[in-house]
Amino acid sequence: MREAQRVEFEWVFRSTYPSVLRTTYLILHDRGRAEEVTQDAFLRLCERWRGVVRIEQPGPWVRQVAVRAAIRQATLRRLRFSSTPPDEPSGWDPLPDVDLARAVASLPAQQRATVALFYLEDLPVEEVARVLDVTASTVKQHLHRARARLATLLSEATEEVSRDVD
Amino acid sequence: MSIDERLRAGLAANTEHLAPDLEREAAAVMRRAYRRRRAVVVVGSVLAASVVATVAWFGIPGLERATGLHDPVKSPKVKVLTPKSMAGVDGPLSAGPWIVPFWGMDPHSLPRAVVEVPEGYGSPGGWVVDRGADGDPQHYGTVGFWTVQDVVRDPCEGVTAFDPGPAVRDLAKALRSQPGVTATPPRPVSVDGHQGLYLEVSFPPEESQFVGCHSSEYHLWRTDAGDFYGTDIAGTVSRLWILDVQGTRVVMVADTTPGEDAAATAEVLDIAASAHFLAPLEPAR
Repeated sequence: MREAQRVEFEWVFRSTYPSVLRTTYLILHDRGRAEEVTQDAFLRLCERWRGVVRIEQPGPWVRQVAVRAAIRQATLRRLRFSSTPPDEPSGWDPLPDVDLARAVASLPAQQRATVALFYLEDLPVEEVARVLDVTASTVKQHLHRARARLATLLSEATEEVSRDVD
Repeated sequence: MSIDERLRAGLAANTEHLAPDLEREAAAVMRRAYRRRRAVVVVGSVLAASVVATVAWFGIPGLERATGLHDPVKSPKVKVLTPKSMAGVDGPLSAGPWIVPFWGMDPHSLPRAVVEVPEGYGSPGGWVVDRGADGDPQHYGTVGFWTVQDVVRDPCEGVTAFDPGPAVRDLAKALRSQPGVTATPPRPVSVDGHQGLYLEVSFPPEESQFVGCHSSEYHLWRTDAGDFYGTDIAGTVSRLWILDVQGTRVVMVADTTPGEDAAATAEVLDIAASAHFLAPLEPAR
């Protein structure tokens, strides 16, 4: 990779890697796997950069590659943490909002990705749809279902805490 | 707090701890990219065959150690070996003996190369590589095994190649004739009792000398699978042991970049010095 390409790649890396890692982490709920998936996506970007293919929007491209890989991996490995107490399992980082983490982790991978891209990355619905390769109406459906599911789970969690306190 | 507000605040809080070390992560990606490109592609059948080879030969004791490479003072102690196959391994290697797959040719008919790998090494898909200096993709040392079909006529042009002839000396002579790189005169060597020739090829020392070359790289040879051996790092030195292992011409390569310090280089050479060969799974066709 020539110096100009290297500088450009590093700039894209610095500006995009942290947010892509956050998103893949929310999909996989495993830092190691999230780093692996995210690095793989940048690796592919790096390889393409060296070739003749010019990627016009490397940031969105690498996010799309990473998110899709994370969804695929989450689906394949059936990574669901809803039945696992968040304060006990190995591999979980101590999180400020454990109830939310547990609730989000119980969503199907596609919904988790939608929630992460919309609420964490603050992408508009159309951009979320582009990343996930679905229609905007599908994104809205995912968001609607995810919100309803999360509201239920979180209110149940709140009620449990209230009962424990009482 | 609405569910939307809870999601925005909670997801941000739950991912705050990630804060990646961007220098380290970027270096890791660059290094993987570079090594993957150099390591080329091993087809699935080769990987599968190597795995079968490992299983089939698991437990075979080590053969006589190399004789032409060792500084007697540094020679590792002989011990019973249970080599594992490195084929398909992409990550750290446990210390111990490993069967290193060849680049090129059907592995069933090839002798199988075994090296002793110390702690701290890894493999990007099938050869030994050190960690590099502080994750810098420009600083590393590797040991790999190749079969050579054609020699590139001009390493900078990088593509046009010719058949050097079948013998060890044919290949050494062809490599000595390549323009743009500097090769030492071949000298006789013996590795694990197998005779051959040793030479060192130095690539151009300045990055500017790679500009305009094919893919900004210098290529030395091509395997029958179409994979090229070469580098795009200025100042790389490739140490080549061209050996006749029971009728098969093989090349063991230990290369280091200018950033590799003396101790790291010595360790890479120690790995090469530990090389020995096991019989092929099938007779040569």
